[in-house]
Amino acid sequence: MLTTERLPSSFRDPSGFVFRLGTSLFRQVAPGYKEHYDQLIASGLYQTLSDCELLVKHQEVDLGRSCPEQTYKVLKPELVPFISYPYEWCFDQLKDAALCTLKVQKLAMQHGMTLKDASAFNIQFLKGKAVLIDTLSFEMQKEGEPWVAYRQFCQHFLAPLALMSYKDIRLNRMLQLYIDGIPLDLATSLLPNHAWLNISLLAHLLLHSRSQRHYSDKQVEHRRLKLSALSLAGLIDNLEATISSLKCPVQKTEWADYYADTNYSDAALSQKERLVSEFLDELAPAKVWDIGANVGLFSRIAAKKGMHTVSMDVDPMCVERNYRVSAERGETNILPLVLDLTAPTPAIGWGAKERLSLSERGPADTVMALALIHHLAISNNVPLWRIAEFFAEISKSLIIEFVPRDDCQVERLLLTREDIFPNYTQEAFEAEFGKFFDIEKSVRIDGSRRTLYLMKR
Amino acid sequence: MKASICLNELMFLAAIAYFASPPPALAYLDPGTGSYMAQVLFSLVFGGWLFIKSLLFKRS
Repeated sequence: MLTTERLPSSFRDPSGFVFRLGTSLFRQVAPGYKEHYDQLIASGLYQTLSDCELLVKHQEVDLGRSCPEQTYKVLKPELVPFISYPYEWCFDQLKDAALCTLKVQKLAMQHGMTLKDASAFNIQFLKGKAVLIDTLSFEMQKEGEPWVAYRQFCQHFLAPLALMSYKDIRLNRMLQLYIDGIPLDLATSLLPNHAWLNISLLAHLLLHSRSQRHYSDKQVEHRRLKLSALSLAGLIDNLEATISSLKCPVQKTEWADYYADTNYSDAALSQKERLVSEFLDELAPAKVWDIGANVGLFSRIAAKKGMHTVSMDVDPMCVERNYRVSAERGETNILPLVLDLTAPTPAIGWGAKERLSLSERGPADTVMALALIHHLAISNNVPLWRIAEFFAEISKSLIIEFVPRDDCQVERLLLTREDIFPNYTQEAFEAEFGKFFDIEKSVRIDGSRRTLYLMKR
Repeated sequence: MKASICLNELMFLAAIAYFASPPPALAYLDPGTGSYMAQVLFSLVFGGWLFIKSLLFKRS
């Protein structure tokens, strides 16, 4: 008999937990959550949300003797191919996740229910769309009760979006430091004064933060005040309008115009695209990570072949453009993410096991690292053997481009610094990667000094 | 700007003190007293605005 393995990220909510059985993932519904779960189904809310692609679909299953103790139901949810985190999302991804949460809350209220939490970690991107994955986030709405997740929504969504919009697009990375959202006093201290000209931000962030401070050390007499359904609807409506009005700032970043400034001729770029396509056909991976993807030119070659492709880049504006193209075209196989390979997402949270590191979410069937290695080796001083070791950890096969020292992009990197990289040669590259991979193919890209490799472990 | 923020804060705290105090929240998330107070006020304000908007929409 298979044994159940509870996921380390699933422990806060007493309503149930997620566990692994063999290679499948299941969600246990605790007996204490029975009336809420039954209401979710009986009210038609589950059907409405899953029809609108706002909530992940599930099937109720009977696991027999493998069922965890004290279980009301076991659900088998539709699998999300790659779990991503809010600190890896670009502005529009976080905004879409926030709007998804509010749409779910609105529909829940129409069905006599409410979201009992509004964590950004409960949202994932499935088939290109933001979707709630925590089926147990609902509870029956008690008449007159406020929205218990209001503070969490402001910390997880409104504060980081306001900071990105009014201050700097890179500030979503603060969500990595503050796992339960950015504290409002910190967010308000960082936002510029002109942000408070937006009355809704003034209310939900600044006055909200001052209220938190004012009541932090006060005991208050408990006397029940009922909030009407209209008042609550007004609050959600205002939050939705506020989030919708926030715009991604136009920021000049290092890599946003890369393809306008590359040294490839049109013919060389076409050849590179053809080679990548041929290598992908040969490998036939189900899951591809394109690292240093820029705006996703090569990621789309994999995605169009039906391969689920995580398209990662360090530049948030590139990821923003990538995501917008993906959303406009309705692409379902590509997930753009912000990732700094020189400091890849670490494991964080309780016991450093709650949110997974990049490596723990791998290995990918194929990693693509195109026009990347010179940045790692020369801009970041990472020795070739360390780069090879890391790629071996996160991939089963590799499509990698070697950019030699006499390439104009490398020469540009060396213009302002001492050349301390005598080992950065094609021979050393092949020797170091050969320790971890079998080099199956290597093809020189016409009209350039670069070589594209196909490697397998 | 600072003066207007202070005025807003004073109005906010006065309104809060006048209107409400929170019930015990039996939730697995702590809604926080300050957040509860803020939500009560904002719900009244934005709910009122939604009501006015719906009246205006009906008329037009």
